[in-house]
Amino acid sequence: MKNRMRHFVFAGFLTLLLGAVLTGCGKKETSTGSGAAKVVIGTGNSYEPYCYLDDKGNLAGYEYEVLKAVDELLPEYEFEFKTSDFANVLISLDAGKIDIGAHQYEWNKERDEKYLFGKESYTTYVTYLAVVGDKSDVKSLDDLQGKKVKSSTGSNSAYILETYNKDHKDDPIKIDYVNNSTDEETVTGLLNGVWDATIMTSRDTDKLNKNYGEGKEVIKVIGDPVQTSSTYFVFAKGNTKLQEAVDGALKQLKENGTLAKISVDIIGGDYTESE
Amino acid sequence: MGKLFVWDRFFENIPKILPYLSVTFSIVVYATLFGVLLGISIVLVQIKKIPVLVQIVKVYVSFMRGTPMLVQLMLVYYGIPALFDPVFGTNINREWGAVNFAYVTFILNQGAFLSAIFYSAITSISYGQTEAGLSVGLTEFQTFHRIVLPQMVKTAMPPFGSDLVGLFQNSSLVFLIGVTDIMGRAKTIGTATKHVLEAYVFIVLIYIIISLGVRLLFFRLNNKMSFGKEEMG
Repeated sequence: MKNRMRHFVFAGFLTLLLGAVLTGCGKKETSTGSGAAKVVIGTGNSYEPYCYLDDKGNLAGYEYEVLKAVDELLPEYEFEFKTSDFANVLISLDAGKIDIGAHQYEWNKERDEKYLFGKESYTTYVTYLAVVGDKSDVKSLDDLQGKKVKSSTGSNSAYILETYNKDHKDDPIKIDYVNNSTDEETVTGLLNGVWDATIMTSRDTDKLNKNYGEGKEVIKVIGDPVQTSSTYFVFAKGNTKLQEAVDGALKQLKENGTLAKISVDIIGGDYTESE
Repeated sequence: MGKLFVWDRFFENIPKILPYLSVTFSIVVYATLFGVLLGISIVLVQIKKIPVLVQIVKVYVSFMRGTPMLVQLMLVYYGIPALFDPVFGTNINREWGAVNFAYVTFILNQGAFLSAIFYSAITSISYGQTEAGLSVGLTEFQTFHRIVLPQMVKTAMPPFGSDLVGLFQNSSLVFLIGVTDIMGRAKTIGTATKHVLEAYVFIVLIYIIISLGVRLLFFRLNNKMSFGKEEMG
């Protein structure tokens, strides 16, 4: 009797598991049947307001809106979005999982050797050293030798710091690679003195002050820009056809003012041409 | 800085995070179900000492148990398509969602860990019992089914339970390849709302509840399985 009970329980358990598995399988999405070529966009999921997940868990942000507008101008392509953390976007491009990398990518030599950059920029990206509001002993990268600076793997700020360290081997800047940290962690870390500085745009510090400063300037940018550049979409080497199509569409969006409008709506200012 | 923790935000996060429990659970279910099957196959190879396979399995198990889960996840996510697509002419690199790679990683990983649990459970039962069974005329299958298996299940149950608790926690790694589970949702809520602590606290509670639930379940099962003593009187 007891034996039979046991078998029943076991059979029930298996049925439950099987049911769960089957419903899990049923959820797979089906592709749409239009003739357009599918283009997979790789973007991040935690860089507000550029790429993040909204209240309902859907992708939102500047990258998404711009690419959606681009997609509308390109009937021959159909865009699909794939999110991952920042460091994995370019690796996915390497691995052929995605066709376009979109995560406020600035041009730099190292990246240019590996990937095909778009010719048409879609935001300016002027980065500064950022420190806590009452700090006055740091003016430039030279003041940070031997100090700890927050960066993340594969970012342009890491590239800037690493390039600087190559020329200053005797007393390098200590680079702390913190991957997929949130804004809150960045601010708290800077305030607590975990890091002496980090590299970001002035619109990013404005955003942090607005969100965490309660009217005060908790984080500020200092000195001259560390680098003045723009951001581009990144393609796999050799994918010129797609790159030219996207560039053409971007150009159109710039000329008819749509890009500037998206920038004002989402970032809160027109950062498409100059600051 | 504003307040780090506010209850209102905590409660607002609950309906946003809860739906993503299904992602966590589906990973655990797949990994356990197919992991058990894989684990059993591995144990069979080990016990039957099938040549060549037994060496392969040995390397496989020690690799899976000796390398970080995160590395395995990355290897599967980027490596398996690179390995399979050219050989079989498939395109899983593009066609598979990230979650499928997560399933595969966790199944492969669980298979290895569970095989170790099953193997030690089987070998903990002295061979004399099998010999005794055979000597009274039971077939090999009957001996296994009626004598070894019940005792083995009881031995394997507690480590299986703690493995399951660990599996729930490990499943939070899938966020890095772009699968949004409860951990990933907490993180993205942090980005969108600028406040991440409330979301983290909530998922801590979820993980605690899950782990207590699993432990309670296994405690009950364990009690149920003390049948051996009663039956033998």
